[in-house]
Amino acid sequence: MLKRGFTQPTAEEINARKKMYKEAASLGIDLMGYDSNDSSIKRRDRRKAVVLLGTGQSVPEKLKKRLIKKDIAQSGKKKISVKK
Amino acid sequence: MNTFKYDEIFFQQLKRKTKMFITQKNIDAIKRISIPGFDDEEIETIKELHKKLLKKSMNKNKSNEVGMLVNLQDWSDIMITGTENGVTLKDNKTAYDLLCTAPKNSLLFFHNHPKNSCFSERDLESFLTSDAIVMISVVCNSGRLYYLLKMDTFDKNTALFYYDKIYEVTESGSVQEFLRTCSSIGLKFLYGGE
Repeated sequence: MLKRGFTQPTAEEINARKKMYKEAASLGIDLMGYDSNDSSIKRRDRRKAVVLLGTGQSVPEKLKKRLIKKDIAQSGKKKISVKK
Repeated sequence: MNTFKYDEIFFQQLKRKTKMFITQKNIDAIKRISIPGFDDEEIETIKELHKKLLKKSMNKNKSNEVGMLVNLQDWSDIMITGTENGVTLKDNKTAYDLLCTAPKNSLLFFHNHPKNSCFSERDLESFLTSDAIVMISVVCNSGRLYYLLKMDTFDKNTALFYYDKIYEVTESGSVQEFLRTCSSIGLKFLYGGE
């Protein structure tokens, strides 16, 4: 096995990571998730938000609202399908 | 662009509409793939970890997704079971803490795709935004392997802007386009096996 020298992240770096994951989750985006869903579906808003969060920028309010709205709509659809 | 047509066929012909149930034959079919920055012993270990992952999926998770987070500091691993279409690390405290606190490029993340597809958009997004993960893999239930590795020249911001740009140019087939051209942003895409 190779010996690798790793540098522990600073408290600031750890907080930045936590903030990114938390903000993404608040918009219905799971950045710790991996899936095999068909990628042909257009998800422009999600993608834009991921790029902004991943590069340490804030997500504009308009985009936030659209994402939250989509998340609620998707949750609603899931609930309906369960009832059926 | 001779590789374009080859890659198109490679990406599309193997994908299934329904889940493939794993057999011991599929697990035995997993092969070693040379990975830059990893020695022979590590490559062998990575192959065995993928076998362990598929075995868990076959025996304990109905051939659905299983994720495995490997810590390069001691080669310990955490396995998380998912559904037919996905797996998340957010509900596992140890995995969550590692993603937030592990040194840069000190983790590997492996997972299987029951429908034998290559990386998804979400796979790319979770990988590109994670500072701690240096490499992700997809092992198809058939035993085929796909690896995506961050090289020394990789820069997260550049990669994310590039990812966005690719989608502005071509919406459909963008994952393929991204993987085909990702060497320009310090990523290495490898595939093989079965």
